[in-house]
Amino acid sequence: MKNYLKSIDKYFDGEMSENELIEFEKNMKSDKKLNAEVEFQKEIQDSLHDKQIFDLKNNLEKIHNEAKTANNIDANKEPVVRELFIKKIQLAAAVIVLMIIASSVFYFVNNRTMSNETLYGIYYEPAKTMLVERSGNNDEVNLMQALQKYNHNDYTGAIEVFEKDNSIMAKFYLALSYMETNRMLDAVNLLKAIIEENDNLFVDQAEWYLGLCYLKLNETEKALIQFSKISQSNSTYKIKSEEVLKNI
Amino acid sequence: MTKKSAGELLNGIRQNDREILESIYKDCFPVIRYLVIVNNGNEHDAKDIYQEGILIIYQKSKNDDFKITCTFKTYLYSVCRLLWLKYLDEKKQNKLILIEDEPFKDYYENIQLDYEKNERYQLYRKYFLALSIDCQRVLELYFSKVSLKTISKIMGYKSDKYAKKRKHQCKISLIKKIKRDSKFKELNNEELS
Repeated sequence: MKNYLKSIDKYFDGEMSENELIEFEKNMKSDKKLNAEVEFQKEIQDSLHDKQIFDLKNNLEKIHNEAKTANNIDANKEPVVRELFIKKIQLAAAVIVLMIIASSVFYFVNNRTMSNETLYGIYYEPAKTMLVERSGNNDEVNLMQALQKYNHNDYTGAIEVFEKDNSIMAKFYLALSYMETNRMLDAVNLLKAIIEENDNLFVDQAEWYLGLCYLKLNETEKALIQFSKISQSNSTYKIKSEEVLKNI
Repeated sequence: MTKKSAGELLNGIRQNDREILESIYKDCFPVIRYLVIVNNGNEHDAKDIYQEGILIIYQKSKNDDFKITCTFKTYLYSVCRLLWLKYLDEKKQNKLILIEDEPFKDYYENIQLDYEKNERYQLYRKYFLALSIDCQRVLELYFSKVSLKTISKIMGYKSDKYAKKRKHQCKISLIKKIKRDSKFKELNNEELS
């Protein structure tokens, strides 16, 4: 290795005699290790030779920080999904603590911390939909319109379209629309189907909403199993599920 | 929406033009931010992905053959989307809540290679910045093909010989740091040890 590095240095510094150079290049062809090392060093040089990339990066960073400072108030108002989640969890936690303190007598008699209905009320919220600007084929346009209906709380209208669409996304939002219109059993069946299909983008969310359906249906045992399953997975709903479990 | 053409924007990036960079940021960052945040990312991830996307485009734009055939925004979005997918993939959270983006498919193969190169470049830069300021300057000069004699002068070294020795030490130190990184091992073939 040491010899490699010395001769590579000589090679890059242009200090090789003609014969040495021929020999070196010949070695590079036959010696994979040497070749890889030379290529590696070349790449390092390329990446660092360009001083401008550091300046560009600095500039991008500055622009971002300035925009952040300027829009600080606006940014806080924007619905950042995850931050909102966390805030809601904190709020929910605070509410839970207050309720526990305020009605400790009641809970002394009734061993449970919260009713399933209350938990559902705290944790259920409509799923966010992706806003899509472009238009594609007809099915897609219909789907987008249905999503907009969903966004505007027109669940009956959305259901009509979603029911005709076989895509996973349509199924998922159909299930959520069922939940909104209190058709819990329909929602459960669909969510189960989505989970069974596995390998799709909505599994984590479907698992979570399925748990919520069980709460709403007052099927405590099923809900317990469902939220335990989520809390033991890598789902984004892991923490929320742990919270729910503490309060079931 | 910015009215500048993709070519003008690329030029702006190449020249590190503050005004153009700002207009790109205003136009494109919200979409990238949304993409990352609805897909398990946070504000910080969004910023990183956006910046890496621009840097990848910058590197590509140095190649004369490079042309963007769609809008700049679409292109940047497709680059960032791939970066984020890769990131999620590494974290084993590859579940994008997105509709399949047909128009972007064409770019993916190209971007795949850029992605890996960019990952390595990022590593190199990271460890370069971890060197002493002295080493950074020596290597910067050396990689810019400044002669050892001049390097020695600029740095105030006693001799060219010392400049050469110093350059060698700094380079070896950088190489060692990079090779020790577990990510580098993933990105590279086993020939390098």
